[in-house]
Amino acid sequence: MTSERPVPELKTTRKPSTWMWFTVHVFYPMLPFLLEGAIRLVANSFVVKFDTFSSSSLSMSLGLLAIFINQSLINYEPPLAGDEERDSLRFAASVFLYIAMVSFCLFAILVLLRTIGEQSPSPVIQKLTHAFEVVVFLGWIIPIAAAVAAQRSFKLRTTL
Amino acid sequence: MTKFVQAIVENPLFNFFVGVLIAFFVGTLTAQLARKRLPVAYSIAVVGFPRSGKTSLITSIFGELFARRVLGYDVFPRGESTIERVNDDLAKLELGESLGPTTDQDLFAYRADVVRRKVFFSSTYKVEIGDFPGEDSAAFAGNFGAWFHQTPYFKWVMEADAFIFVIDVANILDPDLSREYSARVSKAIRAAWQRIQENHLQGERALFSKPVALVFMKADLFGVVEKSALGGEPARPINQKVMRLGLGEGVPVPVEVDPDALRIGRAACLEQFEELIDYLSSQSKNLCVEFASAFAYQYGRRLGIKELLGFILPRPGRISTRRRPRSPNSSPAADGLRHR
Repeated sequence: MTSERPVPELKTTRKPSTWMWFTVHVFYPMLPFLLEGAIRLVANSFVVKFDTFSSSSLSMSLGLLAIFINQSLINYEPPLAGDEERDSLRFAASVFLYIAMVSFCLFAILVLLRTIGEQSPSPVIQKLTHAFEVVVFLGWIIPIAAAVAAQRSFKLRTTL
Repeated sequence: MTKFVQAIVENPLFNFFVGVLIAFFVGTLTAQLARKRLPVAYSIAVVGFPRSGKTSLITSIFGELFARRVLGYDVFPRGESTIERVNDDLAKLELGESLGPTTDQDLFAYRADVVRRKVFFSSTYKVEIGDFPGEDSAAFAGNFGAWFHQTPYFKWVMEADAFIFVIDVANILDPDLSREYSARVSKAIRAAWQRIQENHLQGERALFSKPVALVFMKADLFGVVEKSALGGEPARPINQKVMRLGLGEGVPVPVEVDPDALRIGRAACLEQFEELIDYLSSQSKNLCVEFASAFAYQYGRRLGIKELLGFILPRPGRISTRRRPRSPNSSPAADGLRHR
């Protein structure tokens, strides 16, 4: 014999919000990079140097950000979506997947170059590392701008 | 000189500044490219009782958009389904056929890319208007349960950037229905607006600046000219039309609206719904009262549609919380008249 208990109704007073979406999908993945930079900044007596912020952490953070947004887009179900809307959604999700792949590749290249540079210092390796670091430090804006565009185009929101 | 240049180039602050400039440039370029493929979404919610003329209004709006009659905007229909649907419905309206009531089976979102040109860059918006059965609006204004929160209609309204409340003039003109109808509609619109305030995802404050239009549909029923300027049939008694509209039967061919009848009818409607208009104007700083028709023309254009579009379409300033100036002494009803 089974006892029948009333199922409690799951209620939340929180509404999904844009700010929460940015917090979860943009700010949280960037947090390791920002924290690392902040700690180094404090340790260096607030003097900003080229190595205050880590390019490898940044590329990993951007990769995570892109993966988070990719998942958000894949799971998003727009009300009354037509074929064009779904195509647009798939396009945006693929763009973020490509961004994630590029970011993870950049992370791997940077870590590899640094390791090689530490084991056998060479000016060529140093220059190469520097070049990749510059690419990451200048390119961080691309995933962020794309994230803003995707949020505004699909009204992505979330709740915690 | 060379040493000076070298010192500048090696200065960390200079490098940082150049880096910020390049990042800004790359960011702007990315944002512009992204907005072409992923334009800002701008959805419009149409709320009204069953058979109040919502689908005809949406079709007329897209007809006007397709004709690119809205100044300052370039419009590109988004997707084959929107083009086919609007063209089919427009053809029906041109032939004087009723579009029939919307059912759960033919829920549809009309979409168009609206480009607003600016000096350097243009702003592209993805304008979406959801067409839902009037029963959904009625349920929304009534006492719905938690299940309603999961319906596409509820989700659509709670994310909307602009609202159109549709009132059926046919019911106002019927002496037996008029009083009851206006009381019922006023109550329903007030209730719907309060529900929107309670549940809208952007909150009450953002809602205050969103455009709200109160549209009196089928305004051709006030009266049309005896011999249409467009070559249509002579006007028939209003009550005859009232009986025929909304029942899936034939509707009048396009006719020119009678300006005097429209003025009188408009004044009567504004008076009858004054309380509702006052209420909405206290709840939204962007309220517009419009009289429209899918069948009647004024100066060669569908009555009230262009004015409604000029008000409801996205403007970069309106997406933020910029206030539209309005005389503090003017009554909302007078504003509605002045708007026309």
